[in-house]
Amino acid sequence: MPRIKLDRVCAEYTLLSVLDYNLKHRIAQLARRRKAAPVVIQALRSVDLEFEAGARIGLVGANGAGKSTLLAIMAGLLPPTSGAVEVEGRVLALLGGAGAGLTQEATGRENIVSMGVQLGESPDAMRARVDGIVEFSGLEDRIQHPVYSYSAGMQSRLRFSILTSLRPDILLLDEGLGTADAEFTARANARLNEFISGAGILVLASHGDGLLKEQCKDAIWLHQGVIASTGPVESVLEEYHASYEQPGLIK
Amino acid sequence: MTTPTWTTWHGYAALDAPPGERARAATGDLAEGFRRWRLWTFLALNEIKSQYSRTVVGPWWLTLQTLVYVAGITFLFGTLFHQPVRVFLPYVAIGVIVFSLLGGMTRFCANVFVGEASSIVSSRQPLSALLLRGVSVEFLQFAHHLVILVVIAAAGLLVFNVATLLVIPALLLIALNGFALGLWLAPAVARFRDIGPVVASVLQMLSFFTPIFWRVDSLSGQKRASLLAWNPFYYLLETIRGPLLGNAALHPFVGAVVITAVNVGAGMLVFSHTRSRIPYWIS
Repeated sequence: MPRIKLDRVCAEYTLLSVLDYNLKHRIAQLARRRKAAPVVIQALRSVDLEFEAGARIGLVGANGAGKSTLLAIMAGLLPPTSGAVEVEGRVLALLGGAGAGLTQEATGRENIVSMGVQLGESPDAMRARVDGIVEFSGLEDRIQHPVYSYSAGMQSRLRFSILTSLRPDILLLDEGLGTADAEFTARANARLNEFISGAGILVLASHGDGLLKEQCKDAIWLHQGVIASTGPVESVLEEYHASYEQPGLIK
Repeated sequence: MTTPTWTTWHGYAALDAPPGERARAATGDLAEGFRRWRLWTFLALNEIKSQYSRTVVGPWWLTLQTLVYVAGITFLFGTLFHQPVRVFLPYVAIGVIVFSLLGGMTRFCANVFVGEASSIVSSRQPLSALLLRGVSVEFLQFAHHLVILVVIAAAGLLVFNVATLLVIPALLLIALNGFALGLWLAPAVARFRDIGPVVASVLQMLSFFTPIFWRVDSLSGQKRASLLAWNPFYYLLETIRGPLLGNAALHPFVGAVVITAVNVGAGMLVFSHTRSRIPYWIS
């Protein structure tokens, strides 16, 4: 059974400027015995949580609250600075910019196969799935064109179609479908419902209340890297919205 | 359904994990990388195929360039150093082709984690598989260049005997070195980006310092010849060139094995120390 458990998970980004990526600069600093204290951003501060099969969790919070970092850690794409992460089941995550992980010069069709192979499928298994994925994505003839010719919406449609066809146990979505159109969103929601009824875990970070209420049962409100509130999606959204409408409410 | 491979290897160790745990996560990455050979062989073949689809002649274009280079160098330096073509041509050809394999792998290793950042932060995959894919691409390109040697062999200018078989372990050593180089050079460049251009200029220096278009015996008796002993490319090149020219010797292999040991050691050390930090450095 799929399961996610985070135990006192912290994530800190050390802000590296262009100069910090420069070895010559670093050596010069050492020679001068001058070392400026690095700027550290605490994206997550001791987050504990546990999701069992069938969980449908919405992640809400302001920009920079740590939603994407939390998803990346659950997806195994980013290690925590400290703390323990236990994930059971196959995790697939739709994170990053629209085209993240797609080879821009390759066609949509080629990307379907190579992305699936990258995620652990065999080339033959992916070739057998191509037609179904193309159909679901609604990209039709454009699938023969290189991905750089796609709009952001088309790229995220393609990625969503590939990932959900791979039958994950745990699906992590950042900002839902981003810029996909209404027709595709409806189809995608249907597929998400199908996925959820199969006892998977869905974690969805979004600023869209409608999407969250439709897809999630519970929600987590992240505020500056800390879980500010958890509970049924409606009440968490209410608390979250109240927090910026009535400043000073946050504990 | 495919078997669930994603539960069999643990991803990244926490940044504050003890060294033992980080080393386990790193060796887990390597094991998973090798285990997914279908992944990187497929992606490497794909890369070569896409070169074909872009320019029709694809990788042969580079082979043609290499051929022109070999011919030019043989003519120029053969004339300058009064070398007979029948001796000098195979010497230069093997040198240029093997050096371009070594240089190609080095250039790839320097940039792989930075270049593949978007893939690393969006698809969970062993980082070692990215290195294995790059090494495979360079070997596929090398295989195209081998045609030049086939022509030279057909002209009867190469020596084939029992010692020729030494080429096989030599190529394996070179592949292993390319992979191990990536384990320490790729994280180093991910952290300090200005190492990339340094690698490029070191490679250019090496193309002169490695005996490709001049002969080692022309240095004999000179003290400075010992400087060559500090060039890893020379040893790796000689493990291939020696057997093919009929003068296989032990010392290039001893040198190559020592280089490999140091390289693999450095790779394991740096990779297990830095692996968890790589996504932070490139994101």
